[in-house]
Amino acid sequence: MIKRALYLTLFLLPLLMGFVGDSPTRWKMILEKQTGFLEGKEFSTRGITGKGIRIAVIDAGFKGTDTHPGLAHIFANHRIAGTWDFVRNQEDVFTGNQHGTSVLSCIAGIWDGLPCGLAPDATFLLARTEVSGEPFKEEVNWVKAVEWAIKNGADIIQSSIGYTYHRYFQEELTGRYSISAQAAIKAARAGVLLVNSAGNEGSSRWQTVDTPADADSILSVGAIDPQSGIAAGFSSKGPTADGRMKPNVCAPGTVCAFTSNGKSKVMGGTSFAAPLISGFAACLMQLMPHASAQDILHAIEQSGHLYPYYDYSHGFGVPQASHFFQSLQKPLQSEKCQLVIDPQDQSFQVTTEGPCQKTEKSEWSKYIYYHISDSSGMLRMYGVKEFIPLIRNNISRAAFQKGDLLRVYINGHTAEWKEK
Amino acid sequence: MERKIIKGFILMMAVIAGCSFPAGLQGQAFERTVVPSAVLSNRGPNRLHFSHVYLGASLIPPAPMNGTGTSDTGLSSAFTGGFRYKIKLMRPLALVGEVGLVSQGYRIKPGSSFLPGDTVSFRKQTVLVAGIDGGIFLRLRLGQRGNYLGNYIDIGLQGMMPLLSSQITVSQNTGSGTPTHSSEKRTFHRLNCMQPYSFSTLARIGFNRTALVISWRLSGLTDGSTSYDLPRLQIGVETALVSY
Repeated sequence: MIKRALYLTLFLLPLLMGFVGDSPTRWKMILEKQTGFLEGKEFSTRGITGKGIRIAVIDAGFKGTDTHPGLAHIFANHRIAGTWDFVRNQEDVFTGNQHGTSVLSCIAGIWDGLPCGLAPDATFLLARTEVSGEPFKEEVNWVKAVEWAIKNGADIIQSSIGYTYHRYFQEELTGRYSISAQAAIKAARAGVLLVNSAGNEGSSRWQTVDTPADADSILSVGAIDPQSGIAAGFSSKGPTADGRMKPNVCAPGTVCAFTSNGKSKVMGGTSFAAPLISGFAACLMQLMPHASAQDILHAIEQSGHLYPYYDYSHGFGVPQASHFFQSLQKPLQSEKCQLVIDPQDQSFQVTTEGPCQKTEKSEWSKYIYYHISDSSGMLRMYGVKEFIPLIRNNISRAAFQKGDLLRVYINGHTAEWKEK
Repeated sequence: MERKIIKGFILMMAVIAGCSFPAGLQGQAFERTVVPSAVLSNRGPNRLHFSHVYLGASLIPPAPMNGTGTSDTGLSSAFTGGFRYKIKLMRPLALVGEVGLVSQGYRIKPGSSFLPGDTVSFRKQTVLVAGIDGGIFLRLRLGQRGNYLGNYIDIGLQGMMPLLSSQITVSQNTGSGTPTHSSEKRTFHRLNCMQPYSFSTLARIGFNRTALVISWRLSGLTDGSTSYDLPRLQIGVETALVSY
């Protein structure tokens, strides 16, 4: 009897864990966090929903977009300004892959009364450029789609597409070499804000951002794990081959997104972090109608929860909507709070003194972020570890060389140390 | 017995709990040393050096003895696995060397006798040959873009040194001249008729990790004392165990 009960438990345990893993509770938690991390409610409660902003979404296909109940409000309000399939040279894009449907839901989807993105009232241009098999022509299609978006008045181009080892070597990703990066720069010069996913190569041999995420003057978006609040392992890292910081910012990379069969599913990838930032950018453009695309880009960077700290996994962190509303702005760093960096032979010991301000998100308050940069500002090493208040937190100085700078960030406070 | 199961279960849960305990201490979430692109390795699928493991399976079609008549062998198979190294000579050429293990199993048709003087009538007979093989090939990579294996053509020579050879015969027992339900298995190891080495020419067409392979053995596998030599043509597929 006991033997049977134990065998049954051992057999059911993985099934039970799987059930708990996809439970409605976890699903709702993810859905709330995907906009909660960006403080999306600060926009929506003020009626800022991306209205009047035109977002071009370039993707592998939009199968199910036209029939999904969570996106019905877009069609009901006639907010699809145009569509084009660059693979088959026709208007119908509601075919092919469902990836575009999932991405679009992270900008404008509404599920169970809850928003999946930040810009449900934006207007959209939809372009399909990708097919399976990675033919070289895909990148040409992408360039054509960018030109089409500019011609059709896009304010923002949202692209969760990237090209890596099938076409380029890592040292070629200088932000100017690939044809997609050149097109991205052209879009930036035309006054359009391009938001691109950083890539999911963080755990593979490639590791670094793909192209066109390497382009200058565009927003490259990395992914954080909404459970831990720090960079997801799969999120591609910077810097670019010419040493520029990428990604620029990050957003939740595990989200509830729509599928082609009218349902919603938990999905992961920088593909879904980028549209959250596109929605954020659309809200900012509505809030600041006279700001240029580059002004919006810099504003988003400055609203990152780590700013002015940065690293090559988080960029400046997750943009915070409260940054743009004076009444909500956090008090300046308290003069009484001090981060003390005490250099030792093998490590730096970091402690806090005084009443250091805590962030509202418990996921971030438990970490110490640190990096060592050389004299040109390029990082040699960076990391995140759990922070324990009131004790000495050790950071290895193995990578530290003469002339380098150590920068540390804890709970909204930044401190630096340089050898005199 | 039940106590042992309960103890085992408790131990398993304790191990699971123990593995999660360190998560409660001051943990390193991650730390990364940045490698500048200027010092990127010269190793990679489309860089100067590259090496990987490969696995392959082939079919050996039956062939008539001396090119005429009906075949004495059935459809046979071979398996191979080994280590391949590539060095880029210049665009688009590279030199590829490989070494590995091969195992070939030739099906002998009933009524044919492979070993000299073997007149036992059998239901099933297999000649197994296993050994080390190696080859050297010239590779032409089609298309220059990207740091991955891509599409390529290999042409070159391969050699094989048999280390093990066996003939396994399953014959049907007959009692009073009529077949019975029982069978007898006989195995001869270290066949004296095998040549110490053999050579083949090989062509391979690769599509990233997968490749189609065709090879033709130039020299005999046996020393001529057998009733016939074994088929020379092999057609198969290989896969390169490469992660990008």
